[in-house]
Amino acid sequence: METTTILSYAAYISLGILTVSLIFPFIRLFKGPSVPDRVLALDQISLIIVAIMLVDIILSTELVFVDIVLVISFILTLGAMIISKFLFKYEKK
Amino acid sequence: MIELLIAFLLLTGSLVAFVGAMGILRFRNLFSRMHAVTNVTSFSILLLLAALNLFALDWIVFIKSIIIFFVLINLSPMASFMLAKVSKQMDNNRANRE
Repeated sequence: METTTILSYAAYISLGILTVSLIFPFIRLFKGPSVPDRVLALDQISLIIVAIMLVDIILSTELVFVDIVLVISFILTLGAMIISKFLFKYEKK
Repeated sequence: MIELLIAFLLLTGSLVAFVGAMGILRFRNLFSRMHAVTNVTSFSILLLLAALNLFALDWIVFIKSIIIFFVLINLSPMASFMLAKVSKQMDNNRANRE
């Protein structure tokens, strides 16, 4: 349980890849043709943020952050469900 | 030796997340974009959780990461199913209006 040199290089490279991959859902969020496209892009952004936090646990060796990842993944995925339920009720009437 | 395995899992997980993020921009309609988000990004979270468990080697972290993975693998398809229902309802409303 100690971050060696190889491991910190790999963690920095994967943080860079994840940060670059955060750009594409933002483009879809701005130019999405319909509302479900935008909700889907928000879901993708939240999943990538959870992945970034998982890499950051390895980089900083603070195992307390696993609790925070649990709560944030639960809340953000529930948020997409709640938005789509509201949209369904709005479209039904 | 285990560091190389952890580094391989980290790089593979982030590359899989990159492929899934390109899928949401390149695919043509909503349902294939839903496939890209739900399958690919959950798989990258699984790989990163495996790397974290090999790094920590702790029982509490193992149990918590099992809970995280089950929450994600159950709630993400539910969200995409409800979004598909919303999209179908919007199409029906548009067809009724015309």
